[in-house]
Amino acid sequence: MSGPAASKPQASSKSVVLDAIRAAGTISRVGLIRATGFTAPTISTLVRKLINEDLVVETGHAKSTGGKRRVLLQLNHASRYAVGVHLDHGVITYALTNLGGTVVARISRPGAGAEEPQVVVARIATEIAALIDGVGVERLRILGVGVVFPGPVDAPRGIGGPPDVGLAPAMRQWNGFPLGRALEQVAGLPVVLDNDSTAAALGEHWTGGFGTAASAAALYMGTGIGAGLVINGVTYRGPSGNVGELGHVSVSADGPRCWCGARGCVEALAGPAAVVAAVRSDPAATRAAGLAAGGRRSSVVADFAAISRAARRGEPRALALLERSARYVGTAARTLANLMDLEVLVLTGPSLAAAGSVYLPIVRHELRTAFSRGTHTVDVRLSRSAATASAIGAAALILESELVPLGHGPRPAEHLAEERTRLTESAS
Amino acid sequence: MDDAWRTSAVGLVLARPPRLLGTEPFFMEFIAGIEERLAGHGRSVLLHVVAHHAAEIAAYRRWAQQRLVDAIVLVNPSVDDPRPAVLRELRLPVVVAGEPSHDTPAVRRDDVGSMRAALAHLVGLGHQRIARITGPGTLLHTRTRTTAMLAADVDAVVVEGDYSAESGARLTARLMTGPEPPTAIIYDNDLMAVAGLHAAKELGHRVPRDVSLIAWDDSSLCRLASPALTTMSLDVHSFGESVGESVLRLIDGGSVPERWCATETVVARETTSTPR
Repeated sequence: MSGPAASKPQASSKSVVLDAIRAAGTISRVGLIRATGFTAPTISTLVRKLINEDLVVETGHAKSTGGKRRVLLQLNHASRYAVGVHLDHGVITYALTNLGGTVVARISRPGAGAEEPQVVVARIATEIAALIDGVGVERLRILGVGVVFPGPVDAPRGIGGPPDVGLAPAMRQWNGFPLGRALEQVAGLPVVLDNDSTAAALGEHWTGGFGTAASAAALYMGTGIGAGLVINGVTYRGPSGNVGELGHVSVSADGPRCWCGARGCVEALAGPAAVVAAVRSDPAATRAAGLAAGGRRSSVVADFAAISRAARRGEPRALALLERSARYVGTAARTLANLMDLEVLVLTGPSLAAAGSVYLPIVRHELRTAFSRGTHTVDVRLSRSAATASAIGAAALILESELVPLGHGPRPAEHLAEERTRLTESAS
Repeated sequence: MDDAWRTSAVGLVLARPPRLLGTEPFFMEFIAGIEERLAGHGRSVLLHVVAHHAAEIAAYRRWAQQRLVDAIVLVNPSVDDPRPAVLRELRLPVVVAGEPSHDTPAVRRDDVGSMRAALAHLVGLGHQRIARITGPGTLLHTRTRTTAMLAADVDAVVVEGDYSAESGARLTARLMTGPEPPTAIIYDNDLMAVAGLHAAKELGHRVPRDVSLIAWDDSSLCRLASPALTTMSLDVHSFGESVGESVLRLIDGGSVPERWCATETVVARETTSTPR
């Protein structure tokens, strides 16, 4: 068993062509020569290989421009599939996507909670197997499993950075757990890991949500707030995976202490958990939003969605709290736009699936004062798949590592391969 | 193989052509409502997206054989629908979201009352020549709305779209450039309405001064359009919760009462006014 990025060192020129076809949607061989800079004979050979492998199909003709009509090529979407897993404290979301990143099946199961990581991993493996069976796809068409979670990837160990801030508080027992290796062993499929916000950005890139922007970001809101960056078509992960921690941009130097240790973080002041806490401190607002009182436990994401629905019904307190949160989030988003010269910002994640229509106009308004405004506007949009964004992005991790040129793929796969080698040695 | 979620999942197959990706917000909120009811009982919704009914039926056969799901939520009931008979043959318990066939348990939408409410809003503003761009004519609720509209005391024009933005734009342009353009247009979904709004503006019409527009399905798209679209609003989340409730009773072997969603209400925004 080997990670996909490590297993295909010879595949890079073919990957370049495949990625050009994916990005274009449909494209002719002449178009591919222009897009890749390869010669006509090279393109001809590589396209034939891709068609033989069932990855690409011919799909009709381009409009004639005089002379011979050009045959158009596109990905064969049903030829390969990937599984994406969004591992979180309250819920584990699975998405099975086709080669183009379109969701074919989806299910949410109970979250990791306080269970031992090894127990959760065993459950994930059986749930993945059932999902694959349910869709009726032959196993050999499954490229692998992407798993994403709310924290940085520590390549050798799997999950976590320093034990005190590696992961959001609810999942601390996962720090240092070798998730990739453990899941590969029980699931029998290649596994790659990433942070959930970064994955949401990759999913958006893969399914065309960023258009042709050179500098694009996904603003992810679930339990917390994060961001993923795609720069020149490549996901930016930083040296340690601790990139895009938008929730920990300080919007008030004297603000309250955040769980991360700093003061005035936008997540502490205005993140979904802060909005839920503000509603819950007000009995009338709690009733108006239909939040379960004290006894029954519910997740921040579920409570935040209920508050969003109350705002849509016109409950003034719920709406005011969301609008306040949106101004803070918009302020942090402007900082991100100013640092990265963003052209596109996509709002995504389950909390923005629920409250996007409140946040979008306010974040747009805040970004009108972005520093780049003399040259270009920042296009702020809602994701078309905000509710399942991270799981789709997790599947896209696998698609990317299979399809795009080496060096662009997720780094963890290479590290996991090294890790496996070490294990094999120590076992023998 | 381990029994992962065998005996704990409820299946929902969405048959739609790939270009209708914009239908996601409605179904994700609907599924979130079902999930909210099921979660407390350790159950989940398995969503499977396919291209057509034949693939949907193949999925039901597979699931029945694998014993993967305990019940099915059937969406978009259609004319001469082959699916209920297959589900009966497979002995898969089913809850229909919409108009049921035979005595299948169902959570119904008040399509007649909702259509009357939309027309009453427009007639109240002084409209008489009212067009509607429908969803696919094979869907039962499309037909029910059409029957209700033709029975009403208005000068009705009904043209069939397919829920896509493309059909919304094309049919709006055709209506507005015809010999007797309507003073108001009702759309069967949000995607067609938003595209229709753009098309009307591109033709130089001012909305709502020249033509009033009402969208069905109050989504972010409608709220964020410029001008913001007046919509027919269904509480999709509670529709899902009702379906979840019926599914739980069905699995428990209890009798399942027919449930109805509340009649959809008009959310008046900026695209409806008195005709010029």
